Amino acid sequence: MSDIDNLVRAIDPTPHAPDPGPGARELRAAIMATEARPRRTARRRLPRRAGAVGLVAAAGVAAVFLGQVAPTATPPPAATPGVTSLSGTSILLAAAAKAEAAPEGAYWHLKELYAGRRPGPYGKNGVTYYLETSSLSETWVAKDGRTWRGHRQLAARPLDLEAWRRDGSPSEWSIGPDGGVYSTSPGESTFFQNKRKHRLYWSAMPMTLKEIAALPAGPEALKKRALEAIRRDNGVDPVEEGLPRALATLLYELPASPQVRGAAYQALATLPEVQVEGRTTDPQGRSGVAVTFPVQQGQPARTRLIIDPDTSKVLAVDSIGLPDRDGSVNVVLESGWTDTKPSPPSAE
Amino acid sequence: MTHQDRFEAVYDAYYPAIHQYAARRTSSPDDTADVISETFLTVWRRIGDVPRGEEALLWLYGVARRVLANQQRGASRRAVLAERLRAELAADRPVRPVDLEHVRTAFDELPERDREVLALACWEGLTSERIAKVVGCTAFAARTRLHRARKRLAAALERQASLTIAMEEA
Repeated sequence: MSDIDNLVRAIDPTPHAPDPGPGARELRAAIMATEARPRRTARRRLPRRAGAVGLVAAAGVAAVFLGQVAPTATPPPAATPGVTSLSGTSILLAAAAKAEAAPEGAYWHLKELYAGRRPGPYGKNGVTYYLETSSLSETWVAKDGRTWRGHRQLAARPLDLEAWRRDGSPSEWSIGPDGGVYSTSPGESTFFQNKRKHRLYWSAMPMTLKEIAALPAGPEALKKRALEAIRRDNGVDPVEEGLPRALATLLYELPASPQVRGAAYQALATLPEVQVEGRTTDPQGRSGVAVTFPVQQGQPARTRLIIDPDTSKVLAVDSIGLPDRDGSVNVVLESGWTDTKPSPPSAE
Repeated sequence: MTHQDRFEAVYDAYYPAIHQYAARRTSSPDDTADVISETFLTVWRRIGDVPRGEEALLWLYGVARRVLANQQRGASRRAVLAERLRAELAADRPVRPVDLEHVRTAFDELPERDREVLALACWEGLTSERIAKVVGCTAFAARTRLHRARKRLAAALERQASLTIAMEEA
């Protein structure tokens, strides 16, 4: 290697290999929710590809969190018919009222757990099983715009313990040719304050904390603003399709004020494609109500939010109506304003 | 292995490399996220064409390279697919080393053809045989281009140095 090469290497603006975070995993899920092949090549390959995933064609905005169901895991609990006499609309409006009464605080805090089955299978000598991996991801936003992030890979879990024991109970599995392992011990936690002010995205619209705080607290005005945000992405058509997803992000993902969260619930209650499907429990066993909306009009796949109507909090987000895949779920452990200072994620 | 499993395996194995490839060649986190998502969308659509083994990475670099060449900002729905990724990248943007600003300037002033082979050799650590596969030329042509690029950068740095000395003496 010449001196020139060393100099060029030294000006590399990204010296460290990035660790795929939640954004990378969401992108993967979103891509896999799109049509696998464009139509013109699909024809040529149809015999081999018939029956493949192209179920959710070009999912667009709502594709985030699209997951699939593990073969060994129980399917996502089907929403049971409502045991409550409240109609879907009134459940959403009740949540809206709770949202408006939620406490304010010095920091917006979002703590999520991502879990899903890894491709595989793993094992040897005819013994095979799948692994479920999970990670914690935390974000804090202070009122002055400072942000912190925390991440921690949690212990990988064989989904078939009997098969894992027959495999010699390994505690690590190689990820692939690029190295790295899944481990039965949790990873180190990473935690840092972002150097620059963080830009927040509402659909395709970059927004400051102030702009998010200044969103309208009325459902119709909020819907109008949501459509403007979605319109920033020229590829989504019709823009109305992105409306439930854009409103849903205000419920748990973005540092919206209690009033704006309330308005988002009210706005969701006005949309015919949003359905309240009845009581269910999230992967943590917390009880809530399933609220679903189509990933794309006319497609069976639906994004499902499990909300706690008593607190208005979103408990978990996943997808239903997809061919069985890896059971990815996004569990919302914390989402709201707090006075507790940011700190590194601890293993659950 | 189904196409889905294969895609997941390819994505998980090569995401860091493609992320890095994109980040090195784009000037904003939004662009980086768009190149990553467009590249992997192409991989997903052509998953049956992705070669096995380490050839896969070279194939992916080739896709990312074409995505970069055709990049049209804000004109696609990929921007939305990569929504959260963009936010993350915006937070973690690395800074360039200041003391090597003159090397960076000289590098940036090289013709694109030179920059490309030098970057693939030095940043991605590819041999000229592999560079040839990424850019679609013969190994001999890649070797020649690399040799010329090194010479041109060395000459540019020398010119800079003599200019600095001349200015100091003046």
